[in-house]
Amino acid sequence: MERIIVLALVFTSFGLLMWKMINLLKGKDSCSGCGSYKECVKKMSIGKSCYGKDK
Amino acid sequence: MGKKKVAIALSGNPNSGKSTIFNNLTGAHQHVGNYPGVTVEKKEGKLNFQGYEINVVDLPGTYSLSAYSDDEIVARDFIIKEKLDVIVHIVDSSNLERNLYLTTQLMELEVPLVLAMNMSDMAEKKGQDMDYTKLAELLGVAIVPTVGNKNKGTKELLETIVKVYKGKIKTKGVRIDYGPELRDEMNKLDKVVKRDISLVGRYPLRWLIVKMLENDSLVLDILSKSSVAQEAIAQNEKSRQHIKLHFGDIPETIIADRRYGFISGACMETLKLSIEQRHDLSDRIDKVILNRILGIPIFALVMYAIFKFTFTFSEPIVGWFEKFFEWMGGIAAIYIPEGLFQSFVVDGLIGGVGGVLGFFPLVLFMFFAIAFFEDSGYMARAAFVMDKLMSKFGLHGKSFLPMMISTNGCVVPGLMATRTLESKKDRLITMMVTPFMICGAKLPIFALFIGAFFPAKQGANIMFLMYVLSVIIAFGSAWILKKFVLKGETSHFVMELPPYRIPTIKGLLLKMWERGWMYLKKAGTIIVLISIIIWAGFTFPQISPGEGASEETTTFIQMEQSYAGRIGKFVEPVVKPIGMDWRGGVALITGVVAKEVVVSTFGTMYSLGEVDVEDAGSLQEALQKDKFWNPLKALAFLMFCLIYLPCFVAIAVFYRESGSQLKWTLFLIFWTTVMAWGVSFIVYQGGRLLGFGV
Repeated sequence: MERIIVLALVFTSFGLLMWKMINLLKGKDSCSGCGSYKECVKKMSIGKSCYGKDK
Repeated sequence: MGKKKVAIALSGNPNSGKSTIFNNLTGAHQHVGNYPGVTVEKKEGKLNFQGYEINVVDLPGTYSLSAYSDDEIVARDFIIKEKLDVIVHIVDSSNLERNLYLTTQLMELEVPLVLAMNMSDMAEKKGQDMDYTKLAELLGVAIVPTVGNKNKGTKELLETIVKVYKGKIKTKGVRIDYGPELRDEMNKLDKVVKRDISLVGRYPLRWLIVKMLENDSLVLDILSKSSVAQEAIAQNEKSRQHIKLHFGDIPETIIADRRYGFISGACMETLKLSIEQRHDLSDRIDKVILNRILGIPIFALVMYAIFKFTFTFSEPIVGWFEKFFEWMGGIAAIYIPEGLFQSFVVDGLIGGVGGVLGFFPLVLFMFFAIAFFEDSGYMARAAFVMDKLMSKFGLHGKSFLPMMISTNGCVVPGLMATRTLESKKDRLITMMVTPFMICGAKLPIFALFIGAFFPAKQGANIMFLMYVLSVIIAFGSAWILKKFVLKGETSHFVMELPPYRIPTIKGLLLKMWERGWMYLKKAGTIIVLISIIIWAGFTFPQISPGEGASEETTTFIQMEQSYAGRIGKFVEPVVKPIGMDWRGGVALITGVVAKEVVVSTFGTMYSLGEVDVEDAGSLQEALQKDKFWNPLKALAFLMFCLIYLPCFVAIAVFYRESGSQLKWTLFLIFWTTVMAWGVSFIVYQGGRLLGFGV
């Protein structure tokens, strides 16, 4: 039972990581600062920092 | 066929010699009236030149284009509403910085602009030597030197006006960068205002937004009649409030500061002073900081101070964090029955993620120190100082910004910031070298290995050495790329020099937290997931211990024969010449997901390797105890981590930002990996030859 739970957790993590990676590749979630590639591009289009979420 | 008509207006500060130029241009063909609705005198005239009928309006003399006086309102309304062909801005060359303030505002109105640098003889007498061509290039306007009272330069001025009208001289009015905080707020306003199409059609959008932030009563009045009135005014209030809180000053002052910063930068690039002395405090500080000989050593000193501050003050707190995670591991080991799940929690989650989170205070201290120098106005100077050096290596002055952003936090926004570079080649070179910078994610790797293998007092020195090496590698790579791969000329630009400010504590803490939050968020998502997978990689397939084998031997065999261990063994021949064993190989591979994962991989490996979980020490202690490691191997490993390919996210962003060109992305991967291996090889084998680490 313990083995099944652990393996389930491992495969779930793997699935989530892959999902995250695919999102990154699609450009949906490229920057951990603003969480969206499009937002990031807007913020970065002329400048400096993209860390700011909307404050 | 009638003559072609050209409508121009003369603008300028009072006493800039505007009326004299107006008289020189129009002679007797002028008449005086009033602007409608106000008692401001309107002088108009006309002349014929090269087959064109040029109608000239002499606008009232103003220092700026705000809404404080009738003169200013009349001047700017005339410029916006009349859709003039050319604006001629008369500048008193002998009082350049004050006069250029109006230029910056005219640039914002996005009109074709010709600068008549009047009284140029007076300026020369004062010892000024101006590079007009460069200034024109930097401001994106046309420039003609004139001496109004001697009627010199009038013909050249007219020729330039006609050329600008005909489009033979392109004027594009460079945009002033108001800094990240204002830019963020401007983007928010931009989103709201541009929804009213009629508004955007009538006024230059950026000008409207800047004026909103400046609380310009007339612009706010225009806005209140628009279809986005309520939302725009509410957002403007919020944005102004945010700027006030961040800078401790009203937006009008900050905007004016930035404009003067832009002017100061432009003058610094183009004006040589031999007699005139500057006396204000910023200028006096700049004399030292921007000094040709002292500038770079001062920058190096500042970077050293940042590392010294970070390491000295974060050390005890990092120690507490490490102890906390050790304690957590111990508690979990007590309360969770021994077995697979205990190992999952203790070795996988706490060992992996705890290793990364342990360095959170160090990252915060680093971000705080960098934010201090950014907000004080020093980093803009550093860019100015480095500009000259960087151009020698084929890097554009604007490349400093992306490289600094990467050092301040993350390579991803650094890569995106290369969008400020107009030339595609300059941009690609900058994108290629930006990943060499020490980003926030690499910090824990350096902190871990420096802490484990070098004396505590040397921490900041080694870190500084790493920083210097990263810069040397970046510059060297840029030089090679510019020389052999991406050949071409580097263009010029204005480097803003905002006045010095004392940063507000609130502003610093806010910046520190924003960047620190990024680190935490990553630790809570990608690092957790990858730590679990790495743990599984080392745990499966489970090997049955041989009879009589000690627990230590069993653990070692288990790790070596696990999936991760097999991958490590596969790459071991490649990493062996640079002083690594298979474990280092695994950490470097997993580090491609995110650099912090190098630390979490070691965290998991050493946590799994601990025979008695309750007696486990910190990761640094575990590394110290491991006889495999020595300072030379640690240094070679750090060199590899410094240079080798950026994380997965950065590679994906590089691919996008390079215009989805696979060849450049593959080149980046190849370039960084080969370079990392080569440098580590030299460090390790060279060190061994010199008798270190043997």
